[in-house]
Amino acid sequence: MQSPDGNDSNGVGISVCAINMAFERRGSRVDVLSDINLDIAPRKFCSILGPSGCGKSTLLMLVAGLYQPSSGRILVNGQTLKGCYSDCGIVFQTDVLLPWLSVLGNVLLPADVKKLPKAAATERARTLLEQVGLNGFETHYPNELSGGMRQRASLCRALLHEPAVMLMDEPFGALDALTRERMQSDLTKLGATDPRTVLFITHDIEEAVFLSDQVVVLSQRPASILRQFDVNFPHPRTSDIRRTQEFHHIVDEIRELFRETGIL
Amino acid sequence: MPRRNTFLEKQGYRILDSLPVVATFIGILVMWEGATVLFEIPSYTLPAPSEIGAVMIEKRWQLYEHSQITLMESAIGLGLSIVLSIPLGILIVYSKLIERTVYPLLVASQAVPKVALAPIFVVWFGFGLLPKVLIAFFIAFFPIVVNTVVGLSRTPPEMIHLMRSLGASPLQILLRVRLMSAAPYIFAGIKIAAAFAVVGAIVGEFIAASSGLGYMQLVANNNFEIPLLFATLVALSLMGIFLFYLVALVEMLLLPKPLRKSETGLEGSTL
Repeated sequence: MQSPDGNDSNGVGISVCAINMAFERRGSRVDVLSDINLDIAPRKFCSILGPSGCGKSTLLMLVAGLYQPSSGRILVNGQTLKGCYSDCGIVFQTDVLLPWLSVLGNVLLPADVKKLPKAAATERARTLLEQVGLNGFETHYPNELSGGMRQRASLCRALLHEPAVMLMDEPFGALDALTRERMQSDLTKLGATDPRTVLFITHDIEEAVFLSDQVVVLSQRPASILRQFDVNFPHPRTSDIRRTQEFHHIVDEIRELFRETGIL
Repeated sequence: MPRRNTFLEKQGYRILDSLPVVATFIGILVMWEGATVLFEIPSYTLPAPSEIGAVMIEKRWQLYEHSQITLMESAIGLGLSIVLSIPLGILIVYSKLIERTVYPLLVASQAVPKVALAPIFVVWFGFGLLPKVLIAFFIAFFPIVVNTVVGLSRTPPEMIHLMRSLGASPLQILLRVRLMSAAPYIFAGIKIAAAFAVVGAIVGEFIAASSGLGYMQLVANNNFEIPLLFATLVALSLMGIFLFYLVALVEMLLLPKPLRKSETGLEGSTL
């Protein structure tokens, strides 16, 4: 829908090149990211896994173009990122639904801002809401929904304009375990992952392994990449892979890595 | 899904809810009436509610005409302050320069008791409508500016990030997100300003006027018509309530339901 280069079928690759990031806080310098190099192939699902407060979210903000790196650059689709990257959908830690808009109004926000054709967007919004079981709640306000329902609505909003890239910042972190597992399978059902490149921030090892093609493990702050893992389960995935040897093998390996570096 | 109450049921609950306060109010009036009879309090000290009521009915046209004048002065002053202070609040939030130059002065200027500006305004602008409008404006101005600034700067940063990531322009972000999330604060400021504006108009009338409720009070005072003095006080209170609910009504019509719970971020507003 959006990609100007017609690369919808091929997807968009992301390269993070020699990124350093520091914040100035009350006159003192806080290093957050240190020499991050990372390639995400088009249409792959990449999880960033790291201890809390290590700078994972900062990395996501950099890829979205919402922050500017202190040094280094980010290539999206082979081009250096300048300003915000608007062919992406972001799901934040909290739902960030606008409280004064109905659920449908919130899901339609991207179409509204980007001035996309209204009828088609409404049609798509209703389909997305139905797929996550929110049909019948279109006219409700966000404060009338549960936390899980709100985060599902925000997932629909991020997908409305069929972005080539999905950026998700611990989207299920605030949810209870049951809801979280349901949302993980909803992701596949919604086509959130399939034709898109996904950058997914999490501190949940099993979540990362279950969802990803590529798991990048970060150290404590200032974060650098400890190791990358490839996860080769076929898509679409079902909960069955959680019971396989290979799944547990990778999870254990990552946990061991955390233990060695004193994070666990 | 909770069962939705019917409209009638809701109204019924509302009347039941307000029953205690209405009963208390009537109780106070009865005690007041009883006390004036029992202790033979002279009407020039404290007139009985019945006496005040009688004067209100007797002088209703006079009260009505003077109320209109005062209401006009306060409403124009309030209107002016709304029109000017919301844009100023936006400028303060968006411009570092104005935030650092104008805003501190504006806050410091609150040390000046604005009521005391009234005599100066009379010297400058004469005895007509203008000085009262200006005093009302000056008093009503500050709460709206402060609440606009507080409301705008409390927009969750994630909402702004979200809008930017969708490619929204700064104007779109202001109109669709920041002003909307600031709206409850702004309305809270306007409600306070509405009460302040009436005070401003009255003070202007105390200093120099030939009409308005403030003028009427002065005349009643000079003629020792204490019941009339109280009657104008009642008229003033009714006017304040009218303005307050007018703002509340506009708020209800303008804002979607989740935004209607007014919050105040007001610090250091003085008359």
